[in-house]
Amino acid sequence: MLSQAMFPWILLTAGFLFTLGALGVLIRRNPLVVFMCIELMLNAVNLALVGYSSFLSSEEGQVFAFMVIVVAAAEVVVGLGLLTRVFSIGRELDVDDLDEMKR
Amino acid sequence: MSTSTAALLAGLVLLFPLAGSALCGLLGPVLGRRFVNLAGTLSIGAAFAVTLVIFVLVLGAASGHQSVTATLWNWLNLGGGNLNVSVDVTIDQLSVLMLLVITGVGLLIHVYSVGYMEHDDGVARFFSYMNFFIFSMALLVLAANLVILIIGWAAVALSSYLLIGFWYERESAVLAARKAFITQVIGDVALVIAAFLIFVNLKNAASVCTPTPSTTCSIQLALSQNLHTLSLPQIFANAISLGRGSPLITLICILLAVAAFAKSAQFPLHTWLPDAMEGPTPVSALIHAATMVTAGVYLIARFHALFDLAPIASGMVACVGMGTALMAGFIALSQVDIKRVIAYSTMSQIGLMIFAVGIGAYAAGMYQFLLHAFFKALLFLAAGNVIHAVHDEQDIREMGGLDSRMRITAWSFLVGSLALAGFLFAGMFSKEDLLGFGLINGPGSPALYIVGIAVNVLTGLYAFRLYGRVFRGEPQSDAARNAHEARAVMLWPVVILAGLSAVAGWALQWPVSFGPHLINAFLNPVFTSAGSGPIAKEPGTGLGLIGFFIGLICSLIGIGLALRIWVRRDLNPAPALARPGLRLLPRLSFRKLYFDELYDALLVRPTRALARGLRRVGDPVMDSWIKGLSDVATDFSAAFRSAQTGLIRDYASYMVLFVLIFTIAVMVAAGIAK
Amino acid sequence: MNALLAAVLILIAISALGVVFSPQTIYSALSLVLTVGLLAVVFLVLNAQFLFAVQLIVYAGAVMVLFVFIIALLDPASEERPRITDPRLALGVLAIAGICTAVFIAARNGITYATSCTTQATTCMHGYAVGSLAATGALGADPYSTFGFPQNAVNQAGNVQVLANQLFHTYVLPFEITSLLLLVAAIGAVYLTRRTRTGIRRDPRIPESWSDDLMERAEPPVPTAPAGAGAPVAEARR
Repeated sequence: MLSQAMFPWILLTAGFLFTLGALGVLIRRNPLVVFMCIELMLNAVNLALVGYSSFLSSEEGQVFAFMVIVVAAAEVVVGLGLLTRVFSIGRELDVDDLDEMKR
Repeated sequence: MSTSTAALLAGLVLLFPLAGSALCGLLGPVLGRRFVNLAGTLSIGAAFAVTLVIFVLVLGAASGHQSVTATLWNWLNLGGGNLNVSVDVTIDQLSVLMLLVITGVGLLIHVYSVGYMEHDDGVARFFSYMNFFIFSMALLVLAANLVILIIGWAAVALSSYLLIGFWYERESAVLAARKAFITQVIGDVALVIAAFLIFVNLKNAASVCTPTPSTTCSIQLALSQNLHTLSLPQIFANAISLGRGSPLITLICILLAVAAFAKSAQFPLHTWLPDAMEGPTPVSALIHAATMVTAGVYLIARFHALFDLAPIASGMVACVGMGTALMAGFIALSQVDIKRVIAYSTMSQIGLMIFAVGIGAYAAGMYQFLLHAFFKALLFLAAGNVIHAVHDEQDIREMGGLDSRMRITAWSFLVGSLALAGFLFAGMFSKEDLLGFGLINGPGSPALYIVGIAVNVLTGLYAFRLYGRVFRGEPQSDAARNAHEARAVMLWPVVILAGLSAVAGWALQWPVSFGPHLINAFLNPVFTSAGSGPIAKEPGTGLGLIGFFIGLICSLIGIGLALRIWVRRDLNPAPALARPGLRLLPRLSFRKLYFDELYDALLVRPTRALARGLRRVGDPVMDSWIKGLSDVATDFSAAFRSAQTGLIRDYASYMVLFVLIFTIAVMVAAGIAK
Repeated sequence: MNALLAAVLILIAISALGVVFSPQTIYSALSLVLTVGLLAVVFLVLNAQFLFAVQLIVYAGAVMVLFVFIIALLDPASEERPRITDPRLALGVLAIAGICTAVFIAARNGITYATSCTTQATTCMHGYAVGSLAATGALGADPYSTFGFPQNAVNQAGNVQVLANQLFHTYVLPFEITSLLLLVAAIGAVYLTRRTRTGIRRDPRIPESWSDDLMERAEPPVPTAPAGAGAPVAEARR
């Protein structure tokens, strides 16, 4: 049996994973690693959702987590395709170099 | 005639030209020249037919019931009945006479234009504008309501602008159109102010007796509350409430007169008319001879009830009219452009009309208007034929000897010139008619009469100068030598107008006590109305007869002199004019009495200087102020722009920062709320 | 069970640190695989069996494999050491500290506990309570009614059926839209990764792909032998 007291730790882990992913987005320069950190953040959200679902005895959290997984998969496909294209035209794989979206 | 019939007929007269204008303007470029010719002319033809119907009905109506006011529809009703403007029309002898000329002569000129504009690409635009002019002029003369009158007045000015500047690629045409419009706006302003004054000051008046030509009235004013009415019949009926000879009514009449002078090209607002000859000849014939320039005469005639009560204003009108007639005749003597001579002639003849309505001889003035419409349109159209024949040359010094080459036009022009000069045809009747009035009962009557017969001399002179230079003598250029007669479509209107000029005077009214007096019989009922003063005494016997002959002799003197100088070439005025005192005269005449230069110096240059000065002062201020505003915005956004580095990591840091702040804030708020 | 969960959570935290701080990209990817797998275990512990399976199949089995493939394809040996003095690092650490504290405190104090296990004195997570009670038959004919399952269900419902019921009844619209999203992603992937062939005469009516424009900007166009109306296309670097 899982006790109620574990719930805050689940949420804490989810929060930690999320902010850790955010930190990774901030400090890493390889776009692939940045992408993986984003996936880490999504997983953190999933963890929180499933935790709530189990804790509040409602399966809607799991449904939403399912949607998140699907969307994450689609996003990975498109994002990696973009990165492949960027690589294939000879640009550096460095987020500081890919800075055309500015004034 | 019932009000509903009147409304229907008046509506049709307005509708046909307006529809024609819309059709020609909108569908003309698509459907082609033949459609435009057909639609443009048929619409005026239909309007003329309806006008004939109205004329017959007015003729047949019982006396005293010949004037009908009808409402077409209620246009504005604002402020709980305080501003109520309906499209009202008045059908009486005066308006139907004007309509006959507008639509009848207008129809002839439209037919002529079919031929005149056959090589012009803008024919759809031309007929659209011409039809619109007919509509606006009809609206003006039918108006029974101050607002509708002003609308028609302004629309006529607009049409004139559009038509003078018809060949808009010519800079001179555009400038002339602008000059005409600006001058007429002065008149518009005067008219509007007069309308305001009337509207504010008119009160209810009840009279105890009906005035007749021989007795005056003691009118007792039942001054109730202000009659805030825009309806012309009501205004005229209660005009006495503005006071006989009072400063107020004098001011109103002076303003109305200014408006009339602007529209009819009288001194001092006359400078636009000669320049308006930049427009096509049919335009000059229609607008600047027959109809628009006579709108001023119509205005004074229509407002006779007010002018009868303001003798000072009427006197001024008469003096200005006669003065302009003299001045214009003088200038016409030296002009070398065929159309400008005729334009100054128009100015002069209208001066006579204005003189007539100024002294109270309204019927005589309208008679002159009618006949003048015939022979002036004739002269212009014939001049158009001549211009066409000599390949658009308008300088009379390059013409000559055309009477053998263009027989019909030459004979018609001769008829027109005789009518203008006042011998045998038209002018002999109408001019002597009004001059006779001037002799008998105008203010300062003998003086003005003498000026009038001087005008007769001048008229004969310049009319036959023109005839002699253009049609007689030897051709002065190859174009004149090779000229040939115009096409049928351009000849028929000329011939018809010549016939009318020849016959109309004989048939309608003789300025002596015997013979027909149809015009007086037709129009006098309009000008005698309860509350207005006594009508001017009719000439015809005794002094009037003598005056008639003196005037006729002066016309013959003018004609004879001209024939000797320019046709028979056995009299040369040059040595006489070279004498020191007279040397100035030809130059004064040729330079149009330096009016344009005067106005330029007095009005144009100071305004331009003022504008330049203001600009020099104001530009830096405005620039710095507005530029300052824009600089603030630019700097502000520049500051924000520096946040857009394009680095994803920077954007992500902003997001993380704000998520942190937001989370803490929500926590604190929830904690506080708990 | 609690001890197991605690251990797994600690392992997750450590492998997440590995994801973020590994200098080599491939090690980051492998750490992420580990994290995802451990998360699946957590789902299982939390009585979300369907998600446990889906996480392993889709996330660990497809998404992460894709990641590893791409890393191997593009730059398998890339390395990168983040600077310690980067101000963003400070911001990130601050965010970690702040948000984690906030979440933990909120979880500790702000969330009301749901209905506890009815027949036992100890409080436990509801799913467990229901499951265990249903096994003993103490909840009556429909032990899973609290999960929103229809009243007249006869069989013992499992997690998959419960999720499917929600997915195809209440949330059918998001479900369909998500499938549309997948379609769009598939099309996008195909479009983004197609190769424009070089040296072939191009029909000028077909608009050039944006990537050609991008390619011309990256490198000056190499003039090829004129092959028609097409603009010269730069060679893609392999």
